[in-house]
Amino acid sequence: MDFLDNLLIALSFSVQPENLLPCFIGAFIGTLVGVLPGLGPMATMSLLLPITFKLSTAQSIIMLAGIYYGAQYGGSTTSILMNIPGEASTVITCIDGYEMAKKGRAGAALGISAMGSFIGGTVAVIMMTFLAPPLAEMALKFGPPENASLMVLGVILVIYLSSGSMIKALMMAAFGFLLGSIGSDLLSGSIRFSMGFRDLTDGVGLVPVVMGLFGISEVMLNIEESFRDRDFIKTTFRDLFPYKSEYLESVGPIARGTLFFFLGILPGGGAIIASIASYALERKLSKTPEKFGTGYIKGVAGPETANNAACMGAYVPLLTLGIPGNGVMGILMGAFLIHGVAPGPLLLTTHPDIFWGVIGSMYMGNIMLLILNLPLIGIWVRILRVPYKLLFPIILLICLIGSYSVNNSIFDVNLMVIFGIIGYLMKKFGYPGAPLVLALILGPMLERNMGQSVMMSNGSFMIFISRPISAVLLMTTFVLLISPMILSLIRRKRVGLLIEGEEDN
Amino acid sequence: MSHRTFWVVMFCCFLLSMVNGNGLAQGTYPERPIQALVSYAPGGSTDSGARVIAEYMQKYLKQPFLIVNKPGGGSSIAGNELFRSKPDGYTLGMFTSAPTTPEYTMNPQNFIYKTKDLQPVAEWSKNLTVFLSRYDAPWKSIEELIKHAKANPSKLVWSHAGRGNRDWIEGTLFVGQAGIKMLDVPFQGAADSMTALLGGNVDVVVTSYGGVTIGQMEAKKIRALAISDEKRSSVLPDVPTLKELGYEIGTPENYLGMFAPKGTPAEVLQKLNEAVLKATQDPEVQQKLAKIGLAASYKNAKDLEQLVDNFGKFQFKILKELGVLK
Repeated sequence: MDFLDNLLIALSFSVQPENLLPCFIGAFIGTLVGVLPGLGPMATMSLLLPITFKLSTAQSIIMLAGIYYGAQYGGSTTSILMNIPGEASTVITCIDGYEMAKKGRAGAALGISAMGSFIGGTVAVIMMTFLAPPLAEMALKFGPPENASLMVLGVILVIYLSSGSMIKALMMAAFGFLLGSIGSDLLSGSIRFSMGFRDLTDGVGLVPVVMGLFGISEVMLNIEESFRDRDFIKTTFRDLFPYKSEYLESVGPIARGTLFFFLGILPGGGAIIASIASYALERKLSKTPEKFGTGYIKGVAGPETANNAACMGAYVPLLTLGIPGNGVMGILMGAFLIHGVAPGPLLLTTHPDIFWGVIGSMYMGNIMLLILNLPLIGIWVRILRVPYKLLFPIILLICLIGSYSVNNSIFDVNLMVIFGIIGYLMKKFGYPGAPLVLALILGPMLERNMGQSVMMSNGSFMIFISRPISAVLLMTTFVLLISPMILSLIRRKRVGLLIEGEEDN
Repeated sequence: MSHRTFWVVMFCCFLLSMVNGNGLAQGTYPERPIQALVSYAPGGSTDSGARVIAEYMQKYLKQPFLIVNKPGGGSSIAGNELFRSKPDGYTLGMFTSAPTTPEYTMNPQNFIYKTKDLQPVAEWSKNLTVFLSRYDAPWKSIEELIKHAKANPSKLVWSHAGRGNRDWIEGTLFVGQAGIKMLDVPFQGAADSMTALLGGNVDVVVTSYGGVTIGQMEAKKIRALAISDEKRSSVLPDVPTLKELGYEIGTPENYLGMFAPKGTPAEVLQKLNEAVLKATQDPEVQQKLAKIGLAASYKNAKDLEQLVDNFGKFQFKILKELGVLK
């Protein structure tokens, strides 16, 4: 059996002690970076890149890879405990995770998120072991028209995101699109809406916006609360682990969450879109959508599985095709190159030790992360006993360092503070942040891919319909959009018939 | 003065000396770590190349040589920072053409300085612009590509990194000289271009050799049809130049150089220059650069200055001729 062979090769490489240690270091640093808000894997990996010169290629990649997926584990910690996302991809976990913490169920939320992460990560690696090369070929089928149609489908997720006013959610999405249009326009080469700021030439950075909207604003709100002499979270902590019923409820979301592995394979797909999409999907499928936003375990289990699965997916195009799909993979690519190994379609045949060593390390890494994270839950939860007046300066400081470290830019720090104020006002007036973040990510991608498609077809919009994958995606969008309308029409007709029937009598 | 205050004062002095660096003793350069700005995010060929050079600068200068990535703004963020930093040799730039010819680029308003405000130190490598196609494309050479394009006008698609970029200039000049009609689509970064090429959405990619292209070439997924350099390159010895094929693009060499703010002391520049020379002559460095897709190439400060000037003026002229600069 080819498949079993693959698995055995991968595992045999990974249990070698010289590969286990870098894997553990990477996973450990990743967890730490994930827990610290704003501080992201990208900045950490580029800082550690020179250190890896002393290691072998496989060891370097194993360590750096561990940082990225490790960060997805740690990211949910502060989302749940403090309503501050540790990583951009855990924004959505704040919604229900923090509500659970308020009810004293922080341990359960952290527990299910660690389980979800483990299952998401491991299932993704299993799929990778068996299917990596064909999957990568599939990713190549996604050209600009397919991407553009996928983005259109993504945009309608906004509708399922907010539990409050729909108008407010749409307004925030529009605001996100506006923000996304800032910066240089790839198609014409000119710079739009930069208002004279050179640092806006490349658009508004995602990390400062997310950290500001969710992190800084939360600290501001809490400081305000503490002036009114209300403690942070007063509830005592019952049951550090999820109840049986919660486990059962999480099975579906976790199982579906692992499928977001496929989204991660597409360039630009990424963990953040996966987590938001998973939340929207769970809400759409749920019989009790009103429970989302009130501390519902499904709102934590799904997204936390999805972001880990998608993060693993991002390795597929790099390892099998030699194409980095996002910035983090770009750094890994650099690490390969500096060690004199060019990742490409031949990596598997010319350097099987590296290829299988890295994939094998991911099995080990996920187990290590689970073992590392479960006992930590008790410690994390105790952090909440630290008086807030001691805690918030530390949080602020870490946010400042984090936002600076993305591009080594002071401008990003200022941007974060400005979005902190905007986020504070948004929270005060009940405007949701998630639609804004989604639009900010999807907007520029949609615009770029749409422009490229039309340029490719010499100006014809038929390209979106004539290509099968794109056509299917657009059809799905259309059906999703009109289905509520049709359903309500049918219902009205039924009611109408009933009334008519009554009148007849 | 109590013991505690004494130590506090001492500690403050220590901190101050850290901040000011060479505050107290003035020894020989370099006596503390040097940082070199790169105007791209980590992982690309410029960044990887700079990191290889940095490793050896460290060896010769006996001080850490740190690469600091300041991506964005069409390289203006890093350029402006270098312009603003102290001309003491502790902040340098490992730059391509974009931040070194600010007034001759598409968006000169991004830069707060002019070409003459940066001091060239030495060239350490150069980028190669390659014309790439899928290995199984119906054409195997530039001639066949032209034949194919003439038979199918406005059907083939070529990609570049955006209007005004070097690869766009070279591609546009070539398409014009060959008298063919092809559609051009910009892609952000070589990785996106490569995905589109391998996926069959794009037929020709014009880009710098290195990074994502190396693995694809090794696996015979793509083929280099030509390079835009004047002479054949040691990195891709089998690939013909456009000049050989009868197309005079005329773009000056695509240098990767070390730059310092104007006013850096001559002896510091001298030391850096010598270190770069040593590094580029080191067979180990040459080998490591080749694996990234770069050829080690040395030019002294004067020659590099001339090259920068030539390139800036050439780019300016072409951008005007092509109608993207008014």
